[in-house]
Amino acid sequence: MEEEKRETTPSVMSPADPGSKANQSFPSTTQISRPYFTSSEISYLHSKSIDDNHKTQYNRTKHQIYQFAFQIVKQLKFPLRVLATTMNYYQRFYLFNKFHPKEENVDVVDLERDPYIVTVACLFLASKNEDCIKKLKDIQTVANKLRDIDENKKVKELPTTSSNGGNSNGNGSNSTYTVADLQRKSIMSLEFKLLQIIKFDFNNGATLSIKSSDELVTQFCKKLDINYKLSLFSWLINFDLISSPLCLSIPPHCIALAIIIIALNLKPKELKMTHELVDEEDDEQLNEKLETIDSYGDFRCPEVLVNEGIIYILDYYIHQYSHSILNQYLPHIDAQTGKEQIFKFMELKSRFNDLKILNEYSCSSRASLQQDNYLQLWDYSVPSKGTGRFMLGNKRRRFAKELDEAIS
Amino acid sequence: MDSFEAATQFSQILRALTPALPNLVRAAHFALKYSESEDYLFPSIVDILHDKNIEINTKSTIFQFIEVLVNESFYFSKQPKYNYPYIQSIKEALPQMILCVLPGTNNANIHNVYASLKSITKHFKIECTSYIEEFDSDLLHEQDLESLEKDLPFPDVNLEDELEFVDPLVSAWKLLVRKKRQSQYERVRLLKHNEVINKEITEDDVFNIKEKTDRAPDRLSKRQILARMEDDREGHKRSKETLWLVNRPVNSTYITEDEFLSHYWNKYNALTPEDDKAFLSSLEELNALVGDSYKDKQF
Repeated sequence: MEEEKRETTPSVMSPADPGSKANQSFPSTTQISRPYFTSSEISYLHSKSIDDNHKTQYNRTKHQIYQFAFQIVKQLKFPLRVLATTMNYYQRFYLFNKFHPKEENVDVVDLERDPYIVTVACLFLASKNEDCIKKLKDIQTVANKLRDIDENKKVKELPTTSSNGGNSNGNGSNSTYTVADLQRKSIMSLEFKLLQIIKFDFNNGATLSIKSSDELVTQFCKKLDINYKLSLFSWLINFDLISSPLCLSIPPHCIALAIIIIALNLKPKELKMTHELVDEEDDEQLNEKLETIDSYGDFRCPEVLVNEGIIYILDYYIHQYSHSILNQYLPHIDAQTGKEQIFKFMELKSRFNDLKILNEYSCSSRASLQQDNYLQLWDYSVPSKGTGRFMLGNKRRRFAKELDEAIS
Repeated sequence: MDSFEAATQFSQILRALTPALPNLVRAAHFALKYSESEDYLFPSIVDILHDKNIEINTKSTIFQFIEVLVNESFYFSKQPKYNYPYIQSIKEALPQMILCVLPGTNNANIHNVYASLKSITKHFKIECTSYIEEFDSDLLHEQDLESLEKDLPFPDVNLEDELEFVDPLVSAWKLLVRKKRQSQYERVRLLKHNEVINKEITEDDVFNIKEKTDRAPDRLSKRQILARMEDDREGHKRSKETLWLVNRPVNSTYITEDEFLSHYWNKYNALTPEDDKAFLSSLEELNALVGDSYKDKQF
């Protein structure tokens, strides 16, 4: 029954002070951040945000977006965690917002629908959350250069586009703007939308003590005293996963540990490396390390979440190995088995068949998913016309009484 | 403008200098614009540092200015028109300058000097890494511990301490490390031989270092202390702007092993047991949020 209460309440409440506008009621909602979803929740959300005939288009676009974001990150010299947070936000955005493929946007002005502009907004917010501040203008310039867009081109804004809060220049429709100006306006508006989508929850970015998974993977390797080659291998796997939705399902420390467990199982011999490090353990020692990993005791990783990660990662490589960075670093044929690399992942998965993964009892039927008000396309009009409150799960108790009253 | 006028104006600029980066750069560009009059301009810098009436905050700013000037001079000298103006004079004068910015036992500027000297050093092919490492270590000798027992003041740090002939940059580092040792020493001495005050202290008392009539430039008034905090905060913010930069090769389409080596493998080490404990407890907090995130109980 606790589950029931945890749901969001887009309930309609009358205004607190009945004197002024007694007859009007304001929409109001309270959102308690739930940053992690099970895979059925994600597919359910996608079924609402991505039309069936756009599913492949969504994945193709995401791949292009990833390349695009990586190029910006490279040129502006951002660390990888900015890329990871950008992709996290981008994927989160399309859980709660309708995806419009690029071809549909013949209308140049409707920039907020453009996945590339969404990406720039995600990157802008991610860079702030990761404490790597750059001016939006600098990010825009790099992004436009990559896309071959002349950002100084003058355009006349159409009067229909004052959807961004609609506060300014209702009569200024005859003034001209540069492309960059219009983009800026959309990006700022998207940034505010994104903040609502992440429920003002900045925990998945860099907090003081919890790092991103690329850093955690290295730190965990050091804790287990794992050699350079396997640590590099783990770090590469993490890079592949940056563009995957795994970060929407389990927290970074569990991703990091899942990667290391896979690396210790695979023990690749022929990773292409430019730096030779001497201290190689033999397989025996590596197996021993694998045996002694205490996922909760040493890393505070609940086993079921690590298992979820392991299965996801193996599936990822079984389906997309040829597009992965590992493919660049490993030879096509594995010398030990004499087979393509992908078989190693398949073989490993068959050994992990009976792992206990996330329990989806409450998400098993569409009906139960439909009842969950949190899993809806996000209605921006509620907070703009009425009130929207956002809080973290662990702050809920402070408001419990108030919330329960609102529900009843 | 003739050389004399340029020097006068330059001196005025320096006296009014604030540590905001654009101001420092503007002053450096002025010096470079009139670099033909280096013989007139450079002494202005030295004079200001020796001026007993200039407060210690300004001296710290001047040293930061020197860092900027060195950077800019190297940058300008990529054009054939410039031939590394000021570099030689500054380098020769570095040891003396450091002592001026860190007068007597007042080492308030030591961190700023360290940061600037580190940045200046990068331009020269002189090996100074051992000093950089030494600066961050515990420098007190056994002999120091003995003198500490006796509550003796640390001997003055003088230029003559470095008799042997070495490159001025190296002797600058040696002096700075010695200054650091002095500051460590004086801190321990203060803790050891002074009463701990347990009663509540008012804000006025905290800032009451300098009497109104006191003209000693090495002591700061409340206003100066607050201004200095603000300036240092600004400087810290500036350093954070570049701290995270990752340089990647232009022609790579993917990440490279070098990035892993220098930004991960060489940067992270296993946590100390204490840090690990704190880290695990913050993970526990995260786990609680994660657990609440799913509808069903997972763990």
